[in-house]
Amino acid sequence: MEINVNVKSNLRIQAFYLFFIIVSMQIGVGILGVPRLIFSEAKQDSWISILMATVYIIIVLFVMLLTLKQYDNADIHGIHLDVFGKWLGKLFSTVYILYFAIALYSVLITYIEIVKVFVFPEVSNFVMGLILICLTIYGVLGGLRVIIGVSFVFGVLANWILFLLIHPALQIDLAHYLPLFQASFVDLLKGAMASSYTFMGFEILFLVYPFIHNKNKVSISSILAVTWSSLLVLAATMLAIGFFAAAQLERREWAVLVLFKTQSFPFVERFDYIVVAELMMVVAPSLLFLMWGLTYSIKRVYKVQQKTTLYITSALFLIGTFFFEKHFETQQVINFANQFGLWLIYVYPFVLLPFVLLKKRLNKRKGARSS
Amino acid sequence: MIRKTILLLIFSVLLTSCVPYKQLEELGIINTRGVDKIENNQLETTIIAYQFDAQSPEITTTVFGIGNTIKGARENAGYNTNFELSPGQIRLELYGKETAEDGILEYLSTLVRDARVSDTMLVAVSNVTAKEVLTAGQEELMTDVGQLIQSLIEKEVQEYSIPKTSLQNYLRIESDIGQDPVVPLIGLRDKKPAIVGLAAFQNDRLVGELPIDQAFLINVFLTNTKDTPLEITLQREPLSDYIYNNVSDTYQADNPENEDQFTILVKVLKGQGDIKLKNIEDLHFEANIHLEVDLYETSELLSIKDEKIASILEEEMAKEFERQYNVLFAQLQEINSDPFGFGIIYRINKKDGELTDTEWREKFPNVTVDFNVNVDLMHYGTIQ
Repeated sequence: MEINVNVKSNLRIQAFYLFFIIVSMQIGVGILGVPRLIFSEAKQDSWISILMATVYIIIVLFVMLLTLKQYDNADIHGIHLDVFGKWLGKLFSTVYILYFAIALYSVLITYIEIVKVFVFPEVSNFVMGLILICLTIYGVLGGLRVIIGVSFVFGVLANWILFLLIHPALQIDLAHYLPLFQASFVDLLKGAMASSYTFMGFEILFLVYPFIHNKNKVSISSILAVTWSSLLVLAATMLAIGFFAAAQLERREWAVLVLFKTQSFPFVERFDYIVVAELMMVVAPSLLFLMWGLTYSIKRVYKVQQKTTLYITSALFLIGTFFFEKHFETQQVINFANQFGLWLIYVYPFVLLPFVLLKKRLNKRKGARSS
Repeated sequence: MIRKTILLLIFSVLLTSCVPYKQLEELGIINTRGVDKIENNQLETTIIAYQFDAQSPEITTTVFGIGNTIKGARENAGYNTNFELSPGQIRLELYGKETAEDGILEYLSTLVRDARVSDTMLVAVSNVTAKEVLTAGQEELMTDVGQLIQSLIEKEVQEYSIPKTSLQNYLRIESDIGQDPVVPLIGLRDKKPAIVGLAAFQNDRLVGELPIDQAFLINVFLTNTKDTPLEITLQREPLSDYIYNNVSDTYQADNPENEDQFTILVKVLKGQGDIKLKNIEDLHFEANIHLEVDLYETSELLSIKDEKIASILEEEMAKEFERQYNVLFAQLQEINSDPFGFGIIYRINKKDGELTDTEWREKFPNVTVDFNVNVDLMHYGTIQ
């Protein structure tokens, strides 16, 4: 395995698309349930928590970019190899691979559960899983450029759902936001932590960085993406807080989805059905990127052909949909993914950066001595 | 290309079989459900459902079921009908009086739990049992009673005469500490269902009945009302100089047999209510109500020649509204129900912003409110 990834120029993408990559990774099933999680910690001051989380994520992004800039064209696995050597590097890369797998699995079963609760209670997990996984295989076989295309098209097309939030927005009760500034700093931090699962996804930058053509635009594109995702989460949370009474919101799963339930038009009585279907367009890019990240990482680290791992892991996921059918089991998977990701995504970049800088300095010294 | 299109078509046909289907002809789509508590803590539901049966001339069918839970009662009712009763289209949920007095939250929570039930359904209370209203009406009228009651309520809600009463609205106000919901009270008038009043709740328990014309007074505080017709009875005395006497052709009102009252019908173009907390220790509030009205009808011939008379009329209306508000508020304090949401204003002005339900129940009877009504008479039609 080489440290730097050699990507042919015709396979490279513009940094502009990074916006859609990160947004479609971040916004998925998490946004539907996050208002309750943040609200139960930070109450009516949840917006401060979200802003805090956003600022923190932007700092993490800077650290990630700083790490990547130390190399010509490396990704996380190359960096691991360079910093930790062959065996330890492989171990750390495997942790990343496991993270992609668990994140993919949690998205998959959460979406299946939503479909079962809201639309088809009788549908079997296996059928839903099969359909979603067929879609994922089909997309991943097309390669990264196809996946980015999907995330771009779906990322643009799915935005019309936001217009359906106008009606609930007109019914919010401003008294629910008052009095301001009641939550303590610890509560605000807890609220920010509660949003971590929703905001996960920008770690894909560690993988797609070598594929980007104009590297000077990477930071602006990724920061805009994170900001946009935060605005969406902020809007959803504020709407839910204004719309529901506190006691209601604390008990509602998928509060954002329920917002769509409260309106009806003469031609469509129930918008939540349409939104659940539309959500497929939001979930599909996440699934595709995670599956691509999983198979591509295995290829990078273990030199196994991407197609082989794609079929094997897909079969494993499909079998996996049989398990964890209960809601609380699903929640446990999500919590596990959350804990896993919390350390790997939000903390690990800070650990990695000093190692990378140290290694670079050592290399320089070595280089100076040899010359 | 053609091969791909054919494949796509085949797949879209085949994939539809992956999800369970429901055939419309086999469904009984529940339109209205009445819930009554009967002895032994059991529930009796009265279900009016649409059926698509070619052999039956009726579109709707009424079935009854008894069970310990709402869903159980539905299953029980299912033994009476050859259709599969499906709850996705319930538009009206009607609770019997005694049932509502014991609290309806547990029945509503099943509606929330089931994601397939619509949140826009209406919640109402009957002043007898739900069964009585739904069945007596069904016998008297040939139309579908559930549909009739829904239209009644929806029409009034659209006129802002009564507050919105969808499931979502009810639940939100019920869960908000410091505010209580009100729902329309359905009764039988000439054996036909009609809105006969407003049911005031304390949390989820029915605690009192308010006259229907006071519903508007509450609604002004819940939303900005528009175009609401309203009948209002004023003191005749201040206006007596301007009442035209058709017999003597003068403004000498002879005040015949009829009393000292003078009734007008106005359309309230705009209504806004606003509550302010004046003193948090004394629990003293100020409620400002602004109404813009058009005059449509007077019970006697009234001539509005100049601004002076208009302002007298405005003043008299304001006085009458204030009197009505005070009466209504005293009544609400007596039953300890707070549909205006004074508690919310109290909560957001409290230092820590926290209020418990019991705390507010203790405080609410001691609240004092100044109702200030400001009426603007905008137009009075084509005659002076």
